[in-house]
Amino acid sequence: MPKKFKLFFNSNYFPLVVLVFIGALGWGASFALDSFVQLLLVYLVINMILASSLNLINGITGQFSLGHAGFMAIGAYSSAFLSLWLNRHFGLGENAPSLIFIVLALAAGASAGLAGYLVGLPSLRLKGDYLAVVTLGFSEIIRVVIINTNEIGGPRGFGGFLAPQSFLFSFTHALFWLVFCYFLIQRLLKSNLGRSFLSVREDEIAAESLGVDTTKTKVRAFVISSFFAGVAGSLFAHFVAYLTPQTFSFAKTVDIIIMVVLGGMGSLEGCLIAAVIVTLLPEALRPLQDLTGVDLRMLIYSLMLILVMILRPQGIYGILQSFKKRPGAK
Amino acid sequence: MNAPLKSILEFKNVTMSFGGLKAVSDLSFAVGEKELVALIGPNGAGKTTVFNVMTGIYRPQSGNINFRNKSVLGLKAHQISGLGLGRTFQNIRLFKNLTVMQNVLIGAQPHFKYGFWEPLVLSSRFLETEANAKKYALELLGHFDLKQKQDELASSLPYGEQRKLEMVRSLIGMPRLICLDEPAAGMNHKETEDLMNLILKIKKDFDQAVFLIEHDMKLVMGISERIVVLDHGCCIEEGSPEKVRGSKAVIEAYLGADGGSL
Ligand SMILES: Nc1ncnc2c1ncn2[C@@H]1O[C@H](COP(=O)(O)OP(=O)(O)O)[C@@H](O)[C@H]1O
Ligand SMILES: [Mg+2]
Repeated sequence: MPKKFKLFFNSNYFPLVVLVFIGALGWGASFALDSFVQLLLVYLVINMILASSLNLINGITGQFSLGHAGFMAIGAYSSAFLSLWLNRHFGLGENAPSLIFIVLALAAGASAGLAGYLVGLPSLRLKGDYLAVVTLGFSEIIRVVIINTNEIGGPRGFGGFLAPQSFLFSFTHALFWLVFCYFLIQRLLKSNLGRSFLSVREDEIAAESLGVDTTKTKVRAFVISSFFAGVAGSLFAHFVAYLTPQTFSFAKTVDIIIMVVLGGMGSLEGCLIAAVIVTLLPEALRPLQDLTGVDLRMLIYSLMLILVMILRPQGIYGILQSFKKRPGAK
Repeated sequence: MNAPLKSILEFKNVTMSFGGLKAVSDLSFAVGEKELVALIGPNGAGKTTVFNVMTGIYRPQSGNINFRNKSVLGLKAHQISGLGLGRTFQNIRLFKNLTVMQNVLIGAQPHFKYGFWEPLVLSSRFLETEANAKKYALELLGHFDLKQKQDELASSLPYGEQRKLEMVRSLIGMPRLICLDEPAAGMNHKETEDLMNLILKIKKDFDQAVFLIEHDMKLVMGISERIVVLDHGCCIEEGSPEKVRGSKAVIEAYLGADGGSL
């Protein structure tokens, strides 16, 4: 068993430590009852899911998607709408069983995954930057459709659907999906499918010549990635209990891309840490912003990205590696 | 012409043009089962294009290409690879940021048959398949003196070893025909000699056909069973090394092109 344990984690316990730490924080916060800290912690976990899943397509498979917020929106709205429908037909009310939210997350993931398949199949067959253009257009279309659909609140926003009452459940549920998403991708990387993802990023022609169906491989990565974006959307929807289309604007996608780039394209560990920075930075900057009256967030992001690109193109992952490779420390 | 009795690869009147340029022009030839054939010709003769049309990178405008009695026209590159056609590239195409072992395992596509969830739950089928693939990869790397480098990044290898790694990566998929595009390019005398023995060993151990593009005439004349000579996309000579060495057309093509010597 210890041998399998080591195999599973690939002898790298850093992510496990991070996850246990966040878990401990969340369970601690559920007693402290500071709702702002609780909110941040759930956002953090959701952002980690978004960053890990976008990393699969942008970092690991080397494609460039600009539509993650769109897939998150599909998950959020379909999950919220489905819960409303369930409520209407079965009258679950305030005391909806927790299990229902797990089912909703699955359904949200499935619908986002299906959307990912429909968007990915035609655009991933083509070489070049079609994916970036198509996904950007796609997520804008999704937003515009939401704004123009009255049944889900349109521009005013959408509320009144099921929401779990306990923070502890929301948090644990989100953490469960993060653990699942993270370790699924991490384990896949040690399998033939994961290596195929990497081979597509490295050299598509060589990969094809070795028998890798690169189109199928890219579509698979894209569907898995969209699935988890949908799950994250569902977690978000039921936690905040109110959705507005602006939440899923291009700025959200940019946030997630910053996490992936800052973490070091392709590094799962790096993007966990980058998610912490990107989630907490605006809060840390808030006093400064109140003082100066300008939104410094974007300025600092840009500065950070430029510095990372110049000093450490491999992002936080590169910094982690350089600690590991210090002379004397193996 | 002494065409082989049973051919694994057949080109029939294949023409491949890029714009107005006919890189391969009405070309017909065959490679036999378990035969070692060399494709030579001056720079720009169309040799690499021959590899690219048969491996599905380009689609020729006319003619037909059969591999193991099946037309490969219209098939995707990975499907052709799946039929048992392996290749290396003239300008090395390794997965540079991956380790030597990862490179080789990606070549082992046909060996992996486990399902999507098995890597997550560490099923015994997954563990066994991976362990066996790694064992086999190490064995092959051993033949090529690359065993010690399994955990190094492919980009960190010296040039000659990168070429050898490309060969291992293709061989682990157990192709029936392996096509090597200038495997000795950039190698010194000693390395070329070792490579020559390796190619002969591959052919014998793996019981497969080898189709070789090479400029090093010592290597070509030393190991080829048959040689196809290309110039301006056309086959100008075909036959045994002795026949090709004495051919007037070949000497003219080479002298005309770059004054090379046979
Ligand atoms: N993708 C391409 N586009 C345009 N021209 C090409 C392409 N590939 C090869 N060629 C041309 O076809 C001819 C044959 O090239 P190639 O097959 O690489 O020659 P060789 O391998 O014998 O040196 C050259 O003139 C080359 O410029
Ligand atoms: Mg060439």
